Amino acid sequence: MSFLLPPVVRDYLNEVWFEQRSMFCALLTDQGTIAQSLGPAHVFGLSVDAPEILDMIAGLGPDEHVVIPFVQFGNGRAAHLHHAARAGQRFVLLFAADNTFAEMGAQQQLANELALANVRQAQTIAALTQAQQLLRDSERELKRTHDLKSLFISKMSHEFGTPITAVLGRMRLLEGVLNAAPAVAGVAEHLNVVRRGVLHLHQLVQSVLDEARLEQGTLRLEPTRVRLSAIVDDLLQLFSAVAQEKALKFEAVFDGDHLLWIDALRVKQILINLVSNGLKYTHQGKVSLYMHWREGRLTASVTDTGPGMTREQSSSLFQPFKRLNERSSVSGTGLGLAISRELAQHMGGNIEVRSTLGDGTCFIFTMPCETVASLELGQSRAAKVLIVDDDTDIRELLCAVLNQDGFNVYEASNGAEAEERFRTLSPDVILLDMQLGAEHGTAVARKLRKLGCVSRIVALSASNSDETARLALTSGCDAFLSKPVDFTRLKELMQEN
Amino acid sequence: MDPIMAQLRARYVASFPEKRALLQAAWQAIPTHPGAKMDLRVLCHKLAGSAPMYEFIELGAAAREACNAIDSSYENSAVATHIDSILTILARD
Repeated sequence: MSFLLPPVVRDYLNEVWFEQRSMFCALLTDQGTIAQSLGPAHVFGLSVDAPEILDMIAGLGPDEHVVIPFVQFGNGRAAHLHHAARAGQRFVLLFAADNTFAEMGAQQQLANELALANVRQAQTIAALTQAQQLLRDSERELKRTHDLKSLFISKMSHEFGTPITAVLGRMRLLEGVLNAAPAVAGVAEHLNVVRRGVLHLHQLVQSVLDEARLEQGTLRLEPTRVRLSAIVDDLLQLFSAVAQEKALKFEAVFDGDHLLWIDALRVKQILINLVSNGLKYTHQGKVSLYMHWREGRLTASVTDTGPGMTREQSSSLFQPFKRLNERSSVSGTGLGLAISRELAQHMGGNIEVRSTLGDGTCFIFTMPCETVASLELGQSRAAKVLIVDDDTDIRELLCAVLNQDGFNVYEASNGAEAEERFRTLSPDVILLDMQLGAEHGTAVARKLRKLGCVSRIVALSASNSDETARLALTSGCDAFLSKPVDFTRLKELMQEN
Repeated sequence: MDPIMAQLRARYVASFPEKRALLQAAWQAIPTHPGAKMDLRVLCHKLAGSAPMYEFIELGAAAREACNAIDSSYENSAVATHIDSILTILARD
């Protein structure tokens, strides 16, 4: 197709295509001047035939095909410039490239921003890493200081405790002497004041020591067999006179006299704290203690008709050294409730408080615990028995028989369950079947012993051969019973525990 | 009899149809599934252990015989008699 179109078509193209698309074309002479042009040169800020483009292509040979991706004009517009030579004709084309140029600019801007963001990110990460390291260092330092503090308190409490105990002992002797001999006027009264002071100091030192042990995690629980009624009786004896002195009523009741396996000293410590708190802050009415054991949980609620508390007061009640009213005339260290709750939590339980200002307070202490055996039997026997057998029928039967005799019975159907139950329950006796499906009971016994199990393990087997018994006893079992289990012998083995 | 024991025994008897079905399924699967013989042994072993404890002496003895037969014989025909005995007792009781 010839470049020179009929004028009508040229005009139409010029009008429709070149104008709309902002395109320009210039045909050059052999001498490199502009012969003809087509398209709106003014769009690019050029004169009618765009002689300015000659400068742009200066130096290019007449046959060279060159594309300049971007040319920016004085009016700010941009274009792609093509210098082409075809069939002996040399021409220059301009295609508006504003959008592409703008996009490239934007892309470049984005790339710059991204690079900047990367630099900032790297700087932030470095700062964060440094901050984390500082935090770790601070944590270590804080823990070291905290441990030192706890150790110091613990040692100092011990140091204080020893002479205080000696003073208390000597005071008891002195009181004995005074009781036997005619008292010098006023001596007994002075002694009484000293005794109260020393007792208070003793209590304080014990509290600080307990707090330190709880913080260090070194407080050791010493469970014993104790009746619920004995705890309630002790508290009644301890607080009836105190309540009477303040013209208050103190009631302590229980529901079901179970024989429990708990650290009675620590449980009483909590209850003494709660009851004495109630009696301290109550000025008229009563303080009630209600205790019961149900489905593995011991619950004690201490309710008073005292002044009650606001929600804010209740929420900060268990913080160490926090007292309800710093200027109150009521004596105390502010450690009692904090220690009580920590003790409760140490035993797997908790203490909650419900109170309304002007309407009394109720503390609820709960903790998991087991009964030793039913009180009707009143005999000493293993508290917890774990039955490990893959046969549900046998587990059900053994459970029923042992439950009936007051044991706390738990079940496992395979070795893995037995290990998990051993870890969580620390049973006194484990009845272990020697054939747990594909697993052998001897392997389970060895594994349990490896885990530190000191429970009495009684092997059960459908086989009564000497070899099976020997294998069981050499794998860590303490006794061997063949099935069908002789329940009389089983009970004898339980009693031996 | 102790009421709790009576209750447990009744529950054990109520499980007989299920035990019977499991035994039959394991027995019938032996020709096509080699592992079924071990399943059958486990079922017999459990019965041998639990039945005498629930005072089903005959059932326990039959289950023990079946276990011994499975352990000592590769021939299914030698086991068949004991399995039949167990199935009969389970259906009867």
